[in-house]
Amino acid sequence: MTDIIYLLVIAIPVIISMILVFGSPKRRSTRVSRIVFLTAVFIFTYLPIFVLVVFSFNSGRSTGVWEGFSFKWYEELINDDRIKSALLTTVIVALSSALISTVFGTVSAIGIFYMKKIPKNIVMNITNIPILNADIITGVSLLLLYNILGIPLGYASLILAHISFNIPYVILSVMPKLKQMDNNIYEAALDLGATPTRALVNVIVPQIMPGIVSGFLLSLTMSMDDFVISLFTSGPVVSTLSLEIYSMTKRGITPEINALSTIIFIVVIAVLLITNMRNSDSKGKKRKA
Amino acid sequence: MAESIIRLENISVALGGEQILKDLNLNINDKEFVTLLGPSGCGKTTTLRIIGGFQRQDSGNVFFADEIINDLPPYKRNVNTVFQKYALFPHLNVFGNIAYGLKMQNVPKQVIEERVGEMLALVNLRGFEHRNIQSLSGGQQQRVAIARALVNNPHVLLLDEPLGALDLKLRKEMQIELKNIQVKTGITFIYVTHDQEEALTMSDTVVVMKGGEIQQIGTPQDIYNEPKNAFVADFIGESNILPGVMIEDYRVMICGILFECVDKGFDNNEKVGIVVRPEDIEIKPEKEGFLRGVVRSCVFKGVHYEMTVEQINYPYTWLVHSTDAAQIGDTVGMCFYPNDIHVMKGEDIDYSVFSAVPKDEAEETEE
Amino acid sequence: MKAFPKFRLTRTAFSYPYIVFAIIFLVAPLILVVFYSFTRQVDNYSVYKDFENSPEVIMDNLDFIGYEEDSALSGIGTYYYNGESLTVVNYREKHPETYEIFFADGKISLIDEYEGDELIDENLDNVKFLNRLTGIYFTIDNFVRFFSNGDSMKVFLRSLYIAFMSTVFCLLIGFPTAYVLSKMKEKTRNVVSVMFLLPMWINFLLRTYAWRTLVEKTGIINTILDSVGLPAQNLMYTRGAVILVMVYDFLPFMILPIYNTLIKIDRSVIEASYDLGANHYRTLFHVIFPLAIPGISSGVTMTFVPAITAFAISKIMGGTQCATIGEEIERVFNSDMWFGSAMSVIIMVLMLASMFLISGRNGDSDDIGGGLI
Repeated sequence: MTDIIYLLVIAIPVIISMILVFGSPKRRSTRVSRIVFLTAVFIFTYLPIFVLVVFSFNSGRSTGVWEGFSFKWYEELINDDRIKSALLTTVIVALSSALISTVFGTVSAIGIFYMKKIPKNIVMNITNIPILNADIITGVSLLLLYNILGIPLGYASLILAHISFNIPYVILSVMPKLKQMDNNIYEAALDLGATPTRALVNVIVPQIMPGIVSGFLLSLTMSMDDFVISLFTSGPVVSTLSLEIYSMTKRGITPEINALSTIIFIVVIAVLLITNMRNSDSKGKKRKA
Repeated sequence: MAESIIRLENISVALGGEQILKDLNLNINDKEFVTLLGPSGCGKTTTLRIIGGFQRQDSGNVFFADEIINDLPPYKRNVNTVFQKYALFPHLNVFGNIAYGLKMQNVPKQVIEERVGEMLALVNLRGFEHRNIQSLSGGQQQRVAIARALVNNPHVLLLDEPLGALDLKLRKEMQIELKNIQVKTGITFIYVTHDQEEALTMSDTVVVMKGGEIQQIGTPQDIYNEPKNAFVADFIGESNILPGVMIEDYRVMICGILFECVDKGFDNNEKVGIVVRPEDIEIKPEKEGFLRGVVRSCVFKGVHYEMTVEQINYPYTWLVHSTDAAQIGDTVGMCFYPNDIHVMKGEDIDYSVFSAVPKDEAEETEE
Repeated sequence: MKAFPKFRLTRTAFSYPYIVFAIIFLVAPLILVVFYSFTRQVDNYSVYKDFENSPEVIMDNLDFIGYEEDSALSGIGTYYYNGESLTVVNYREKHPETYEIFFADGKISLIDEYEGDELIDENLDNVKFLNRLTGIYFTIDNFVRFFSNGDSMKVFLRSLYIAFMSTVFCLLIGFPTAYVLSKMKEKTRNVVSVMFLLPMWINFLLRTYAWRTLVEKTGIINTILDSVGLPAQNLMYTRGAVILVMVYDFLPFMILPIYNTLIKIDRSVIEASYDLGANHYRTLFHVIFPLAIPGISSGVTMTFVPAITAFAISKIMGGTQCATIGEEIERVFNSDMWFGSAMSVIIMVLMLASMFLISGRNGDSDDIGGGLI
C-alpha cells in the first residue's frame, strides 16, 4: 500500500513534467520545464554527495546531525592506520590489476581481432560474461574456483579476480579502435620495411592508444569501486576500502570516511578538469594549424 | 629489349572457396608503366597484393629480376605500394609518414631529412613537412602516399586504384603528374584501376583482366583499336558488338550487307564478332545510311548526344555518339567506314549482352 | 582477406594466453556454479567396531550437524543419530581415523543396528572408530528446496519486485533526462553528461549511506519536515527506501545508453517527421522513441540485472526484512555452497531470459565503456 502511494507521489510529477519537457522547444513552458527537470535530477544526483561532503567537516561523530565545523576528521584520517592500509591495498590492487589487464587485454584484443569469424564470436561472447553477469555470481563462482584449485584467499586471489573482470573492459575498449583502423596501414608499414613487430609497436599501438587509455581508466575505476567480488575473493586478512566501509556500515560510519571520499572526489574532478583542458588545448592547436 | 623485372608464373589463388586467379602468367618489364585493368572482382588487386607480398599464392611462382621471391615478406621486397585509401599513418605528420620507410632502414637523420625534402619537391608539397595528415586535402594526401612509397627507391611501385577517391578534375591532373613522376624516376609502375580512360591515358602497357584471367596485353592503342574479344571491346570504351561473317579478306557481311574492312587472315565465311565504336557511326538521313533504325532515346552528354537506335529488321539496338541531335521516333540511316570496323575471332560471343546495352549493365551480367 | 600466412599466425597467437585465462577464470567458475547447484556432498559417517581388525559397521549414516571450532577437516563435530546428538573426538595420536563417541550426557552409547539394542559401554578402552565417507552426488534437491521453501521464494519475488520498480522509475526519470540532454548544444551537453557521471567515482556504499543520513528518522529530511511543522515520515527500513537508493545508484546506467542513441539519431529524420506534419509528441512517439529502443533496452538491462542482485543497498536501507536475493546468496553461501550455487543459477537463468527478452540478443556493451570515461 505504501509503495503505491510512493509510486503516485513520484510518478505523477514525473509524468506531468515529461509532458512539458517533450513539448515544442519554441514554447516557453517547454524551455522552462526542461531546465527545471534537469535541475531536479541534478539535485537528486548531488544531494547525497553534498551531504557527504558537508558532514566530513562535522565536529561531532554523526554523519547526520550537524554539530559544528572542524577539520577533526581529516586529521583523524591521516592518523588512521586501518583506513590508510585499506586505501593502500585498494590502490595497489587497482593499479596492478588495471596495468596487468591493460597490457594483457590489449595484446589479447589484437590477437582476437585477427581471428576467424566463428572463434572470434565465441571468444567475444565469453569476454562479455563478467560484464553482463551479476557481481555476486562472479564473486561466488571465483570463490568456488579458488576452493577447487586450492588458491588461498589473499592479495593474489584478489588481484586475479580483479584482472578477470577488468580484462573484458580493456578488450571491449580496444576492439572498436582496431576495427576503425585501416588494415592497409599495417600492410603499409610492412611495405615500407618494418618487421611485423616494429609495425605493431610503431603503427598499431599508437592508433589504438585512445582505446588502451580508456580501457585502463575503466579498469581502474571498476577496480576501485568493486565491492561484491572483493568480498568473496579477498579472504579475512586483506581489506580494501570498499570492504572497510562495508564493515563500518555495520558498526556505524564516522565522518572520517566522508573526509576520505571528499578528497577522492576532489582529486577525480581535478584530474577530469586537467585532462579536459589539455584536450581542448590540443584540439584548438589542430584547428589553428 | 627491356629486361623483365617482375614475372608471375602460373599463379593461382582461391579465397573462401572462390577461384580469384586462374593460372596467371604475366611478365612486367623494367621502367614500364603497366596497368592492370578490369572490373571489380577480376583479380587485379589480388595480383598486386601477391607482388607486394601481402598475399601468398596457392601455386605458381613470383620472380623478381629472375629470382623467386615467393616466401619473401613485404618488408624485405624492393617493392612499395600506394594503397587505395592511402593508408597514411594518422598519428604521424607528413614528415613522419614519408620518413617512416627510411627510419625502418636506420638511415641517419640528416639523410632522412634530405630525402624527405627531395620527395616533397617531387610531389609538389614543399613546406608541408609539419602538417597534420588530417588537415590535408585528398589530393595532398595522395601525394604524401606517393612520396612515402617512393622514398625507399623501390624498383617497382604498386598503385592500387590510387585516384579512386579524388574528384574528376583532380584525377585528370594527378594522372598526368603520376606519368611525369614515373618518367622522371624511371621506376616501374604497376597500376591497378577499373577506369579504362585512366589506363589508356597513362600506361605503356595495359593488361585487361576478367574473372582471374588475362584477356589481352598490349599498348593502349592496340587494346582500343584491336580488342581481342568482346569483353575487351566492351570494357575499353563503349562498343556495338554484333555477329558477322568474314566472306574473304577485307570483306565482311554485317546485317546482310557486305562491308569493306581492313582485317584479314580469317577463314572464308568464318563467323566473327564485329565491333563498331559508337563515335564512329554517323547519323545520316534515312536513305543515305547503310543501316536504318528508329531513334529510341537521345541524351545530351556535353560533347555529343548519346543515342540508341533500334535497327529495322534486325534485333540490334545501336549506341551512337553524334554531335547532331535527332528526334526520338525518327527513322535514320547509319554509316561507318572500313577503318571503323573491328573484327575479332569468336563464335561464342553472347551478343545480347553487349549489343548497345549500356556498359554498367553489361559488367554486372558478366560477373 | 587471407593475409600472408606467417603474419596471421603470429597475430592470432597473441590471443592464446587470454583464451587459456578466459577458460580458467571466466568459463570454469560458471561451470563450477552449475555443477555445485546440481550436486550435494555427502558426509556419510559410520561407526565401526575396531576399524582395523574387524570393519563391522555399528552405526551408519550419521547425520552431520556442524563442526566444532578449528576442526573443520578432522571430522570432529556433532552428529545426529536416531534423533540424538553425539560428539566425535579424534584420537589423533593413535590413528587419524579413530574417534571416540560421546553422547551429550557423557556416556558412550552405541546402537546396534542389527539387534536394535542400545549398547552402553562406559569403558573408554573399548574405542570405536568413525569412518567418514565423502562423496558428491547429483540431485535437484537444491532447486526443489528453493522453490518449495516459502522464505526463499518470498525473498526472490521481493527482489524481482524491487528490481522492476527501480527499473521503471529509472526509465521514467532517465529517458526525459537523456532527451533534454540530447537537445542541448554539443558543448553544454558534453559537460552536463560528465556531471551526471561524476558521482560514480564516489564509492557506492558511501553514496548509499549518505542517503541513510538523509532519510533516517532523525535524518535531514525529517528535520526539515519537522521545522515546517509536518509530521515525520518513517522512510527507513521500507521497500520504498531501497527502491529510492537503487534508482539513485542505477540512474546513470539508464541515462547513458539512451543519451548515446538519442544523439546519434539523424536530425534530418526528425525534421522529416515535422515536415510530414507530425507535432512534437507524435514525432516523439513515432520516430524518436522507436529509434531509441536499442538504447532503452540496453539501459533497462543494465539497470534491471544488477538491481535483482543488488547487494548491500537493501541491507543499509532496508534492514533484514527487505533482504534481496543477492544478500540471501551471500548469507547462505558460507554454510551451504550447494544451495547458494543453485540460487545463483536461478538468477543467471533469469538474467539471461530477461536479456533475451529486453534486448533481443543485441546487448550494446560498447556503450558501457564509451560513456564512463
